[in-house]
Amino acid sequence: MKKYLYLNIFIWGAFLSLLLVSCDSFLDADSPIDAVPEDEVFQSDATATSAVNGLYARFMGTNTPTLMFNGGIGVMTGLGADEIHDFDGEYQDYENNEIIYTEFGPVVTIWTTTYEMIYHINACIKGLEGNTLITPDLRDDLLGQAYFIRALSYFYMTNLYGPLPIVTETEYEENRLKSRSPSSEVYELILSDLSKAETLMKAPDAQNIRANLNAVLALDARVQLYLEEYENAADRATSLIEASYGLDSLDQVFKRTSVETIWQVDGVLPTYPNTFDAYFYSPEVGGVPSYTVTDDLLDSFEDGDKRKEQWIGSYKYIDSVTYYYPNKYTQIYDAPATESNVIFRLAEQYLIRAEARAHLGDLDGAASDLNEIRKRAGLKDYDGAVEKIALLEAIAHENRIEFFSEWGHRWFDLKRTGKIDEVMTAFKPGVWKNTAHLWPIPQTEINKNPNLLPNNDGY
Amino acid sequence: MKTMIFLCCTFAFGFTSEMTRAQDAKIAIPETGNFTVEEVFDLIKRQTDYTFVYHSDFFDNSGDIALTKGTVEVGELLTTVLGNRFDHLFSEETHSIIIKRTTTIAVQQTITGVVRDKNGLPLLGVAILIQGTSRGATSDENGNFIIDAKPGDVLRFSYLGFKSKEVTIKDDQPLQIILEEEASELDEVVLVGYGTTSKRFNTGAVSTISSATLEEQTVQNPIQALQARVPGLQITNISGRPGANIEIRIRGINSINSGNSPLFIIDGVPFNSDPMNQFNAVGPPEAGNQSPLNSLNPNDIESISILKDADATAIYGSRGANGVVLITTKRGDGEDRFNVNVNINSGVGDVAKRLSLLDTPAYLAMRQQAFENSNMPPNPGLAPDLLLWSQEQNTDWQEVLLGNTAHYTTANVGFSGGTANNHFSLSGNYSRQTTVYPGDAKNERTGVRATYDYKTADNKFGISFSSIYTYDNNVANGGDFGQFIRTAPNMTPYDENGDINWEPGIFSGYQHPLANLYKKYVNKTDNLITNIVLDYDILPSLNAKVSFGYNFIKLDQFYGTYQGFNPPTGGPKPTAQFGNTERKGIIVEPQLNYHRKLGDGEFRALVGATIQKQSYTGLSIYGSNYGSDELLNSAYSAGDISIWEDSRTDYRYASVFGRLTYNWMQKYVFNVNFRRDGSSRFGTNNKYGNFGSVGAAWVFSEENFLKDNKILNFGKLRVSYGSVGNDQIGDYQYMRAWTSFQYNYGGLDALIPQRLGDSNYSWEKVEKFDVALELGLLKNNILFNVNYYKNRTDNQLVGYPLPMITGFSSVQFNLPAVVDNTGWEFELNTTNIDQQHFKWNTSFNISLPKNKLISFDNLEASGYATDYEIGKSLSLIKGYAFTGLNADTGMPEFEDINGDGAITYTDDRVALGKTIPDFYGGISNSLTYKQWNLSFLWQFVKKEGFGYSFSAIGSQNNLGKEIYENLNSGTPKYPEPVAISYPLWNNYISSTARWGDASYLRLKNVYLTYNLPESVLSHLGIDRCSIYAQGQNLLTITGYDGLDPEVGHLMYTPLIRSFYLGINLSL
Repeated sequence: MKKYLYLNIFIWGAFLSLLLVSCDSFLDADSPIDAVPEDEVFQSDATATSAVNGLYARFMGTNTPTLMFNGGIGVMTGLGADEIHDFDGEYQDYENNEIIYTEFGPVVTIWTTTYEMIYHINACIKGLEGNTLITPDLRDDLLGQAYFIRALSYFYMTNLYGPLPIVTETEYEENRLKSRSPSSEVYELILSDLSKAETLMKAPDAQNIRANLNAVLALDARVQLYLEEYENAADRATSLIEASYGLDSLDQVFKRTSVETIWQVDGVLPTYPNTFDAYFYSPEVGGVPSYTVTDDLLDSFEDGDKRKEQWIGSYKYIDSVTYYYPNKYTQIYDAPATESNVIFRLAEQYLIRAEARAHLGDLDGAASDLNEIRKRAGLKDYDGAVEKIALLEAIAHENRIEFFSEWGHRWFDLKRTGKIDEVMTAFKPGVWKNTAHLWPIPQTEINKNPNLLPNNDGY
Repeated sequence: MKTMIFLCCTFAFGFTSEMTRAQDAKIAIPETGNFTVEEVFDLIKRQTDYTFVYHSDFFDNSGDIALTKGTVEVGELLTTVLGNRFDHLFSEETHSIIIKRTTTIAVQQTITGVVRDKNGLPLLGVAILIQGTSRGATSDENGNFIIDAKPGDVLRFSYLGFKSKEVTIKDDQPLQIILEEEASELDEVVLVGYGTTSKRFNTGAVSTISSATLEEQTVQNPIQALQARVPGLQITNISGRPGANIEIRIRGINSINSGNSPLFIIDGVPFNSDPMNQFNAVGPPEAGNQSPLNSLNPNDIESISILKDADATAIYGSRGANGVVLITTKRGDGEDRFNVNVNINSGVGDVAKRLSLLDTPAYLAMRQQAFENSNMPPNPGLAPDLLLWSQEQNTDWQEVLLGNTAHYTTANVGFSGGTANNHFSLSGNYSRQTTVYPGDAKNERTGVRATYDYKTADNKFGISFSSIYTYDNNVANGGDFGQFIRTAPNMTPYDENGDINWEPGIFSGYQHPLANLYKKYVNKTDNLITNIVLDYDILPSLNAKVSFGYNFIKLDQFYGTYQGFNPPTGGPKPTAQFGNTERKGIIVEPQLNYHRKLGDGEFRALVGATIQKQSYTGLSIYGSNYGSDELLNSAYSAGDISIWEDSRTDYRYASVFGRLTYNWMQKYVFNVNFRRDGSSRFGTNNKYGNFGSVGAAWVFSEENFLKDNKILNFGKLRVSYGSVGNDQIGDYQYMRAWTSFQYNYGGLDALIPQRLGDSNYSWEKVEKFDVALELGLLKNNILFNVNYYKNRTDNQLVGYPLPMITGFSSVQFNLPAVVDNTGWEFELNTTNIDQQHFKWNTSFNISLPKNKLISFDNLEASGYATDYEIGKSLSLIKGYAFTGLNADTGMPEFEDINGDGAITYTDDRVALGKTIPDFYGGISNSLTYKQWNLSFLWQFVKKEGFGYSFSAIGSQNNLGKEIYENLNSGTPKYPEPVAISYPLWNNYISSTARWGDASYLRLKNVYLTYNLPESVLSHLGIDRCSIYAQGQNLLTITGYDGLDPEVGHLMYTPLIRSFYLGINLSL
C-alpha cells in the first residue's frame, strides 16, 4: 500500500516541479545553430570578414540572367540594344523594349537583389565604422570593400532605372517610404563612396577575386568619364595602365589567369563553377543558342578582326542555317574552374583614356590608346582623320566590338553619349520608343512604397 | 425502498507492505469505553484504506458496544461488533468491507457487486431494479451497489447513455456488471480537450467521426476520409499524387499570413501537420511536399474529433484559433477475450477524365496559322515542331503521362485481449500504392502499434500506454507529369530502344515531358508517437493524472537528377540532394479533475499545466558533378558538395489551464475554460497570453412543458463565446540575424543578413461566437442540428510586406486588420427505416461559410492592396476585365478601370471572385438488408475558380479542341493564335475570360459489404467476416473544363478514381 504513497508523492511532485520551474527561463529557447544575432557579427575579425565576403557570394547566386552581377545585365541590355536576339523568345519584352514589370522578370529581380545587396553593405558599414573590436587594418580594408560595392551597385542601378531611393541606413522604418532622388545625387553618393574606399583599401591580391584598390580606380575612371570629368578619368586610367596589368592574347582574356583582369568574381554554384555567360549563350545547353548575335553587330566587325573569330561562336543548325552567339566565355560545368566573371579589365582603361584624351584635345594620345586595342585584335592602326569627332566615333565603335555582351557597355555607352534614340530607331524602326532608355520601377515595389511614383516616362 | 450507501475513502496510511490481508490488520482501540457501530467502522476506516458498504438503516437501533483499550485484529473486532445478525465480507478488489444480514432465509439475501463501463471505469448512479418489484438501489462512485434479492430474481441495470442489462441472480457471489454504451447518438462519448462529454450535454461545437465511418473508405491519409462528412471542415486535395499534401481548414481562413492549419493532437501528443521538406528550393512546388499525416494508418484510428468553437478550443489557448483535431487510436476493449482482426484489400485506380486535345494535323495547322498571323516564317528555334519533327506522329500525351493503372494493396492485422483491468492491443499494417504515371513510382507504408491499459484491482490507479510507429517510403519521379499533357502531339515520346526520345531543336532550359523519369525523389518517413498516462484517484471525487507524450518524426530525402534528364547535347553532370529533417516533441501535462454533486447538479473542475518542447533539425546536402548515375546514392561520391541547410530550432511552450463545468438538473450546463500560455516564439515583452471561453447549454426538452413530448425527444440550445490565439509563425522571428550563405566564396565562409527582427509582435487573436440548436425528433430517429458562428480575428500576425529598398521583403508584425468568418452549418441524421432486416440511414451536412476582411489600416499603402479589398473575402482573386477581342488584331482587350489609357496590374484589375466555396457538404446513405450493407457518400462543393491554364494560343503547346473549333468558327471568343507568347496573354489567363464556376458533385465513396451469416461463421469458428467492395471518386459531375475542379487550374494530377475488393475477418 505504500506504493500509493509514492505515487502520491510522484504526482504531487510533478505538479510542484511545474510551479518551481521558472516559466521564463524555460521559455528561453536554445539559439538557432545556423544564425548569428546581428550585434554579434561584427565582434570578431573572422565573422566580420565573412560578412563582407558574403557580398561576393551574392554575385553568382542564380543560373538565370536575372541578377545584376551574374551576367544578367549583359543579356538584358544586350537584348534591349542592338547586340543580341532572343532566339527562344523567353525575354521578348526586353528585346521589344516593352518590359513587363508587374510581378516577375529581370526588371524585378535585379531591383530586389541589388537592394538586398545594398542592405547587406549598409549593415556592414554600420557594423564596421568606428569598430574597435576588429583589427584596424582589416577593418579599413573591409569597410573599403563595402563602400566600393555600394558605389558599384548604385552606379548600375541609376544607369538602369534613373532616379533612385538612396538608402544608406538599415532601419526599415526609415527606409520603407523613401522617395527617389535624382541621378545627380546618386552620383554624389557614388563619388563619396569611391573616395572613402580609395583611402581605406589595399592593393589587389594575386587572385583579383575581391574588390581592391585598382578595382576602385577602374570604376572611378568609368564614373569620371560618365560625368565628363575627362582629366580625372584619364588620371585614373593612367595609373591602372601603368600598373602591372597587360593586354592578354584574345584566347586568354577571360581565363582566370589573364594578366588583363583587374577584378573578377568566381562562380559559387557547384554545378556552375565557371561563369554563367557561357551557360546563357552556349548552344551546348539546349541544342540551339538561346541568344544569337544580331547581324548588325556581326557586320560591324572590320575585316580581319580576330575578335570575331575568337569571341563569336557559330553553330550550324539542322536547317543548315548558321547561327552566331557570344562566345567570350566557353566553360560551363567543368571543374576545376578556369574562367571567372570579369568585371574590370585593362582594355576598358585604354578606351576610357582614349576617349578622355580625345575630349581633352590629346588626339595622338587618344589614337595611340585606341591602337593598343586594335593591335591586339589583329587590326591595323587607326587610319582615320585625327580629329575629335572621328576619333570619338572610332573609339565608340571599338567599345562596341571589344565589350559586346559584357556588362551592358553598349547600352550605357549609347545612353551617355546621347545616341541611343538615333541608333535604336534605325535598328528597330517602329519598335523603339524614346522612353525605353530607362527601365521601369517594378510595380510590386511601387505597391509597397507609393513614394516611388511617378514611374519613369513610358511606364 | 430508499437505499443509501454510505461511502468513505481515506488516504493510504497505517498499512505496511507485509500486511496485505486486510482481515489480519490490527486496529488500535484508543481508549476503553462505549462505541456505536458507526464509531467502530470509523475507527477501522481511519486505520485502513477500506470503506464500508451497507444499508444505512442496518444499525439505526443498535446499542453501544463496550471495547477496551489495546489492539485487536479487524476480523475479530468486526465479529464482536456485528454479532450474529450480520456477516462481514472483505472485498480486496474494491477495498471495501461489505456488511450483510446473516442469511437465515434462503430466499432473501444481500447481493453486492460493481458496475463498470467497458473500459473498466466504475459507473456512478446506475439504477438497479428488481424486475416486477419497485425495489431498487443505485451504485456509488466506485460502482459498488448492494441490494436484497432472491435467487431467480432478475436485476435490471439502467444508466443514461448505456444499454440496459438484465442479470438473473444465481447465488450470493458479488456481481461484475459491464454496461455497454447505448447506440443513441446523443449519448455517445464526445472527446473534447482534456476530457469527454456527450452530445447531450456538450456546450461546444464538436463533430466526431468514428472508426466505423473511417472504415468505409480506403484512403492513404486518414484526414481524407473526413471530406464531406463534417460540417465546417473543408478539405482540399492539392494533387492526386500519392502522399500529396492536403489543405485542411476549420471554419474558414482566420489569418492573413500566419498558419491556418488546425492543431492536431494524436493520443494526447501534438502533431505538426506542416509538410517537412528540404527540397523547396529545387523541384516543383509539391515534389516531396507530402503531408506528415500520411504516416498515420486510418485503420488504427478509433475516432477523430473536430473542435470548432471557443468552448471547445479555448482550452488549447494560443494554438486553438484554427480549430483542433483530436485523433484517438484503437485500444483493447476490456472484455475478457482474445481477438484477432484481419483486414485486407486490393485495388486499382486511374484518371477518370481526359481533356479533349488536338490531334497532330489540327495541331500543326494551328501552329502554321499562328506563324502566318504573326507574319513571320517559322524558324527552328521557335518552331522545331513544324520544321524538324515528324509531321505524322500522333502522341496522346494524356495516355503516355497519366494513362497507367495504379495498384493498391492494404493489409491490417490486429490482436487485442485482456481482462477488465488489464488489456492490450497490438497491430501491424502495410499498404502499397503505385501511380498512374510511367516509371516505377510507389508509396509503401508499414506500421506497428501497441497499447496497454492497466488498472489496479481497486481501480484507483491506472496506467495507459500507446505507441505508434510507421515507416513510409514514397518513391516518386520529379514533378507532376500532369503538367506536361499539353505537349505537342507530334513529339515522339520514346525512341526505338524505349528510352525517352529527344527531338531536335529543343531550346535551352526546355524540359522533356518524360525527363522527370530521370529525376527521382525518395522520401522516407519514420514516425513514432508515444503516450503514457498515469492516473490516480486521490479521492473518489478527485483524480490526478499526468500525461507524457513524445513524437519523433524524421524525413529522409533523396532527390537525384540523372544524366538522362538533360538533352543528349549536354547539361550538368548528375546531381543529388540529400535532406534530413527531424522534429522531436516532448510534452508533459499534469491534470487534476474534481467532481462532486452541488445542489441539484454536478460540478466538475479541471486544472492542468503543459510543458512542451519541440525541436527541429534540418540538414540539406547538395552533391554535384557526379561522375556517373551509379554513384548518385551517396554524397561521398559527389564531385562537389555544398551544404544548403544545417539548422536546429527550438520551440518551447508552457501553460496552465483550467475548466469549470456545472450541469444543473441535466437541464442547464455552464462551462468555463481558461488558459495562460507562454511561447518562445515571441519577444521578451510578449511571451504570455491569456485565453478563455464561456459556454452554456439549455436542454429545454427536459423542461416540464416538453417532457414526454411525443415528437420532440431532445432539444438543446447552446451558445459559447471566447478568445483563442494563433502562434503559427516561424521561430526566432524577433531576432535580427545573419546566417551563412549556402556556398562559401573564394574559400572563405560567407555570411548574409537573414531577417529584420522585431520583438514587439505577439499573438494573433480570434474571438469566436457560436450558437446552435440541436433537436431530436421521433424517438431520436431524426437528429437535426443548426449552428451559426462568427469568428473575428484581430491583431493579425503578418510578415508585413516591405519594399525591397529596406533589404527585405517583409518583417514580422501585428497588423490591426480584422477578418470575420461567419457561417451556418446544418446537419441532419435520419433513421428512415429501422426494421429487423432492413435499415436505412441518411446523413446530410452543409456548410455555408463567409469570409470577409472587415478593416485594414491603410490597406492602400500596405502592399496587400493588390490582393485584398475591404469587405471582400481573404480568398479574393483579382484579374483583368476581359472586354472581348480586338476586331483587327484578334488580341484580347481589357477594361481600363481607372481610364488612364493603360492596363496596369495595380489599377485595372477587378474582383473575379473568391476561392472559398459558397457552400459545401455531403450526403451519405447507408442501407442494410439482412447480411448486405451499402453506403455511399456524395460530396458537393459550390465554388469558383480559373479554368484550366494553357499557354498562349499558337505557342508550342497543344490546345483544347473546343478552343480550336471556336477559332475557326467565325465568331471567335479566344485570342487569335500567334507564334510567340505576348504580355497581354498573361492578363488574359488571369482575367474574367478564364474565371468561372468550378462547382462539382462527386460520388466520393461507395462501400458495399456482405457479412457472412452467423450459421456459416459458427461452422468456421470465426466471430465476424465481411467481404467488401469499395470505390473512391467514382463519378464527378461538373461543368469545369479542366481535369479536376478540386485540384484546380494548374495541371496537377487529378484525384484518382479507384476501386477495391477486400475482406475483414475477426477471430
